[in-house]
Parts: sequence; structure tokens; C-alpha cells
Amino acid sequence: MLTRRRFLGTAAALAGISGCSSVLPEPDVAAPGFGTGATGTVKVWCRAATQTGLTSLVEKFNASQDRLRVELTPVLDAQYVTKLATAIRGRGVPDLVDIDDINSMLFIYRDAFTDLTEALQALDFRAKLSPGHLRLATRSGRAYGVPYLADNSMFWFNTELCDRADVDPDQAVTSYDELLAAARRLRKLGDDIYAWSFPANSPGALGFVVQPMVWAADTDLIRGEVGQQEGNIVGNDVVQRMLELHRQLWVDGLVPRANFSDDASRWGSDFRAGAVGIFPSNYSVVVSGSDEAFHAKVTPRLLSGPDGGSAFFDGGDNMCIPRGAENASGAWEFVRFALDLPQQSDLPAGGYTPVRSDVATPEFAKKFPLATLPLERIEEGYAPTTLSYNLLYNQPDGPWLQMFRRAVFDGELEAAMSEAQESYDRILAQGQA
Amino acid sequence: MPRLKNVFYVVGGLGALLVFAVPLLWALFRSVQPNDVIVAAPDRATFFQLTWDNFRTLIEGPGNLLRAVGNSLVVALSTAVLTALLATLAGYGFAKFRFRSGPVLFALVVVSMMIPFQAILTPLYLQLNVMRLTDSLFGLVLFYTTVNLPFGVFVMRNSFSSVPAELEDSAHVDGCGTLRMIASVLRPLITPGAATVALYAFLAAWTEFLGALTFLTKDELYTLPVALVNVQAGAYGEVNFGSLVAGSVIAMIPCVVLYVGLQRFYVTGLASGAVKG
Repeated sequence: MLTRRRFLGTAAALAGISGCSSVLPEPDVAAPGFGTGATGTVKVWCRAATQTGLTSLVEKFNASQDRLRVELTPVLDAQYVTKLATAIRGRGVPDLVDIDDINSMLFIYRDAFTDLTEALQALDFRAKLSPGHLRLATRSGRAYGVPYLADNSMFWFNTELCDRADVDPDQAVTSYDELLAAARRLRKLGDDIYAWSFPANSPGALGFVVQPMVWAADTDLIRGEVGQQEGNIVGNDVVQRMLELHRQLWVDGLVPRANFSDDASRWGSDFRAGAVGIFPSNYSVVVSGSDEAFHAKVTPRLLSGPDGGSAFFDGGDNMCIPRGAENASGAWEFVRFALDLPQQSDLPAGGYTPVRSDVATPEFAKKFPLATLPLERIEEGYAPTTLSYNLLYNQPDGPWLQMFRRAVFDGELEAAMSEAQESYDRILAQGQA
Repeated sequence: MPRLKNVFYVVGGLGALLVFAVPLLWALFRSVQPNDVIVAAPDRATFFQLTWDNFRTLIEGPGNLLRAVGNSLVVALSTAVLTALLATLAGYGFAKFRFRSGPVLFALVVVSMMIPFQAILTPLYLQLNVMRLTDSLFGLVLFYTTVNLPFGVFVMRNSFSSVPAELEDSAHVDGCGTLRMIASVLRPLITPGAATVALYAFLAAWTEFLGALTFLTKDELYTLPVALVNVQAGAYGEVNFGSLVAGSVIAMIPCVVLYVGLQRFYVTGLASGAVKG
């Protein structure tokens, strides 16, 4: 008999079940005509940090045809994951998300994005796309996103200071010892000239510029595949030497004291003022906000390892189509436009670098000489594939920043590393549970 | 002796003036400096190079701050009016009508002040989504009004409680109805309370960030706090201090105007809420 209580119970259970199924229907990318001749509006989210570039891209796209209209919504970087997760939970997703590539994995592993493998194969420049970005969008051989823009970390040398201190950038990046020797010579130039500068109180920026100095030696602070990952810190000689190098830079006074509390809110102001010789950072921080005369004075090199080798952080944006997108076809059309050569070649104007290696033509190099290096060596870009990146590297109380500060400022290297190993293991285990 | 007192008064007053005025003036001054000058160590050569560039970027750039100011004004003014209206009616009911569940209901309203909305953000989002009130300034107004109502009802109930019953009795004798009573007889007495509620709701809605960020996903609907953070924040925590300080100057204008305009009501209203409750 259907009592009131039973009726309410069943209704609640049904509501619970439908509420739990957060996997939205996947758009049919194999349908004939997908990505051509779409109409209507395309809702696109982008990061607030890349808003300027995306805005002009959208304006260009909207002006290029009159079938589709892209509506762009910038979302604050720190809130992007939460906001997108809430939108998926509320089943009201945008048609395309331009998302920090390091975060795309989070959604791919929760079946929130559309499989774009075949659509991607159909692009004739597929082989030219940044492999580091693509790795962050790939799960079990299937691609769930497309690289759009790159944000790479590199060493930036102030050549004027280097000349005065007799430092050869090419020689400096051959080993940590050479880097340290170069730093010591640079510091001798004067009391207000520093050799180096690192944002030691900004977990994200620090991870962005320092981790590649470990990857350059073909190792990482994390080991294993997603699902069985653990920390790779205790016993990792490269991590230890990286920390020792930074400890030495600090102890010898080769970096500004302000590095201790540098939260990257004024990142690069010391370098742009010409007071720093070697500055690990990205294109945007160095080039935006400084003038042509300064651009002529700097030269980039890839970040290097303890005994040579090189790497850079493959940061930037991937474009992904969330499941449940209403206009996936229009979204793909916009993606193709965004990846087209004219648009890609224009990215440095907004502070970012392209994700297609074939953009690096002589004309491009002439126009943006400081943006070509990562394109020429696109294979050396890397970023860890893990579901716990934010917890490990972007939180102020995360183990990465704790380890770095304890080792560099307090000199407790071994304790810092074993503490970090424990936290890495725990966070990685929780993230995979 | 009185002279010494005067000296203390003037010195103390000037000190207080400096404490309050200097940060404002400093913000105004910084807002017309370029970002690179703001973040660099002060240098005589560049320190007084003033420019409107920060304001120009905010207004003409992709952030479109003027539109955000418009959205915020619509939301904050609507919230203020709606909150003041509802709180006045509810406050009158709680103060003047005797009914059995009255104290319990009032306690419930006041208790709800203790739950920060941040704690129930996801359910709130889902609820608003089902009612198709996300991506809508109207939905945001309803949300802000709900959050501000408990405090408003509390203040208005106390405002009405402090009105002597004789006044109403004599109005009743003259044949005055409830609404007329509030609008004509009690209005002058409760204006401070209503102004407090309105001002409080306005400021809360004007500065609120998290709710607006969560419930709105359309660029053209963003309110000022969301637009401002979007404009000045970089990927690694870089802050464009030029945009930040210029945006803050724009954001404080309505607050200062309203506060100065309603100040005398505000102070009286707060006192009536606190002491006579």
C-alpha cells in the first residue's frame, strides 16, 4: 500500500539518484557536419588572467562571420575550478572552457569533458601542437582538450648586466655550479644589483619557475601514473641539489631580502627596473609593462638542471568542451579559428606564446624575438599530470612551499624533504581515492 | 583650563582627521600613478608623473568597469529598497502584533544571522538554478535581500518597539488603519532605523563578492567587485595595483556619498537597535 511515508521516501530516493548523476550527455562530435556551419551563440569561459587576449580573439571571430556569436565570460583564476564544478553540478555548463591546462585533468578524470580525439586528428597541424599541453588533456590515449595558448617559464638574463659581470648566459645554464658562479659575479656589480630573484612566498609562481630545474634532469617530485602516484622527494638527489642552490643564493645574499615575503603581487618589478641579472619567469611578466629598450636588453634561456639538460613549464590554457554543451559544434568552430595561424601568431601581443611549433617563422621571430625559444624547443615542455596539483603546489599551506621555505630560509634541508615526502604521499593518496 | 581643553580638542580632532583622511587621499593620489611607479621604490623623477591611464584602462579595457558599476548600482539600490520595505513591515508585525508563534519566529529570524551564507553556497546555487534565477540581477537582488533581512528585521522591530503605544492608540481613536499608521504617524520616528537598514543593505550588496561570482556567469551582468578582481588579478598572483587602486576609488564614491548623506540617521538608527532592544 502506498502510504504517505513510503511515497515521500521513494520520491526522495529518486531525487537523490537523479541529483547524483553529474555526468552530462556527451555531444556527438562524430556527427556529420560537426564544427562547420553552426549557428547561434557559443558561451565561452576564460581565465581572468587571459581575458585581454581572449577578448580580442572573440571580437575578431564575431566579426569574421555572422552565423555564430561568441559570448565570453572571464572567471577569476582562483575560483575557476569551483565555479566550473558548481556549473556542472547545476547542469548549466558553457559550450567551451578555456581552462588552465594544469586543471583540465581534474575534469577529464571526472568525465566532465567531451572526447575530442577524432576531431583533433582531423586537424592538419595536429603534429605541431604542444605535446606538453596535450599530455595534460589526454587520458588513456584519448584527448579531451586542445591547447590554445602557452605560458612558459624560462630564465631571463639581463644582457647588459651580464656583459658588465662577464657572464655568458649559454655557459651559465650548463650546470647549477655555473649558475651559482655567474650569480656571484653579477652580485659584485653593486650593492643594489642582485644576481637573481625568486618569489619565495607565492606557491604557484615558485612552482612554475623552480620545478623545471628538477625536470631538466628527467626526474620529478611526483612519480607513478595517476591512480598510483606518490612523492619522489626523499632520496631524490636532483631535488636536494635544487634546494641547496637556492639556499646558497639566499645565504650569500645574492637575491634581494624581499624575496622572503615576495608573493608575486609585484613579480618582476625588480627585474624590469634593471636591478636583477638572472630572473626565472615568463614572457608576460618580463615583456608586458616594460619598453622596447628593455626588451632589447634581455635574452631567454630554458631552465636548466644540476648538470645541464633543460626544461620549461608548459603552462597556459587548454580549450575543452564540457559534456552537456548545447552548441558543441559552434564551440569547435571557434577552437579551429583560435588555432589558426594568424590568431596564434598574434598571441605574444597579449603576453602569451603560441602552441603551434609551425608559427615560428622568420617573420614571427622578427616581430616577437623573445617568444620563439619555447616554440623551437616545444618538445622539452612539461607539466606533471596529477589530480592533486593545486593541493601540492598552489596552496600557501601546501607541502611544496613549506619544503622550499624550510630548506632555503631555515636551512633544514633533510627535515624539509622528509616532511614534504610524507605530505606528498598523503595528498596524492587522498586525491586518487 | 578651558584653553588647554580646546588645544586637546583641536589636536585630537586633527589627529583623528588624519587617521581617516590620509588613506583616502593616498588612494586618490596613487590612482593617478602608473602601475610601475606604484610598485617601484619612490623615485623623485617619476613619483609625480600623474596620468589618467588607470581609469582609462578600467573604463575602455575589456573589463568594462562602467557597465559593472551600473549593474552594482541597480543591484545595491534594489536590495536597499526591498530590504528596507520588507524589514519595516516585518518589524512592525513583530513589535506590535501579539501572536503565539511570534517570539519563536523572531528568534528564528535572528538565529539565521548566525549562518554565514558561504557555508550553504552550493545548495543556494542549486536552488537558484532550479528557479532560473542564476545569471540574473533580479536573482542576485533576492539573494542579497534574504541575507540582509534578519538584521533589518531586528533593527526595525526595535525601532517600532521604542515608539510609545499611546501614540498609536490615539491614532487608532482617530480612525487610522495599520498601513496609514506606519506611513504617516510612525514614519518620522522610524526613519533612522529604516535608513540604517537601507544603508547597511546597500553597502553589503555593493561590496559583496562571493555570491555574485558564483551566481553570475555572464560577463555583462558582473557586478563591480567581480569585475574589479578580474581586471587586476594575474595568473600567478600578480596584482595590477594601478587598476586596483583606481577601481577602489571608483567603488568608494557611492559609499562616501550615501554615508555622508545618511550619516545622522545611521548613527541614531544603530543606537536605537543596540540600546533599546
